[in-house]
Amino acid sequence: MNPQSNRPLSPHLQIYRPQITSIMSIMHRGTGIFFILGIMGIMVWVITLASGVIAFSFYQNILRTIPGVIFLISLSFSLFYHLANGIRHLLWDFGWGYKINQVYLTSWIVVSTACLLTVILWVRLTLY
Amino acid sequence: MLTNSHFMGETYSILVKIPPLNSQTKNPLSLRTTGPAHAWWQRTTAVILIPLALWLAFSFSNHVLSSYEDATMWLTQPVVAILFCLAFILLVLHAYLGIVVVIGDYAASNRITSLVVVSRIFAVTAIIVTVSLVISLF
Repeated sequence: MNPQSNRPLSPHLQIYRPQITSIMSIMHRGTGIFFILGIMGIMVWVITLASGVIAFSFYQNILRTIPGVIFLISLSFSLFYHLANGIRHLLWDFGWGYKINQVYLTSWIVVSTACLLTVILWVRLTLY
Repeated sequence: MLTNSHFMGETYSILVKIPPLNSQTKNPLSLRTTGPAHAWWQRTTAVILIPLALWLAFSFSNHVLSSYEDATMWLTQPVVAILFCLAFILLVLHAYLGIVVVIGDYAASNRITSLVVVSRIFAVTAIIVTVSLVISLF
């Protein structure tokens, strides 16, 4: 690195204390990347549905295993987290929410909304 | 040296202060679109996906593990098929725009173009395969 340059330095992750802001930020990226697996899963679901009963039930049997269900629950949480935090990002784009207390408040709103929606979805699925 | 996000350099918010058109440098990450175009597409797909993704989560989840007949019945309703395809296309577009940024942040600069091209091929293939198969169910 050129020490003379005025370009900003990124934080050194090894010595940087994790904060709610940095965790929320990397989680947004992580959930976004993870949901690409969900998109692929939806695509495979449509492919097997169009291929017939045998392929469809084969795919469903994989999804019904314990790792499969954990995968589905993680996918739903990722979607809801990315959705809620995405709304937070859109509010930032409109210039709202930059004060530090607003940033902390909206962080906790996002996390609790994502957890709540995941619980509602899975309670609904197991009851009906 | 890459200038992938330098259009955001001075301001936190592209919607509060839109970068002047003459300041657009050709964005090396998205091949043909410029930085502001990328940012606007990302936010446009995001806003439309707010209701669509919620619908997808709460409607599609009832049929993921349901019987073959039930799943076919659900997806062959015209409104459901249209919303499903729309949601899928927007999810893929939004994911493509996101992964382009991720590639730009982490990949070595000589690999960026090829990785973006691969992502684009995946995105186009996913859309064509899924939409045509949904249509084939009718």
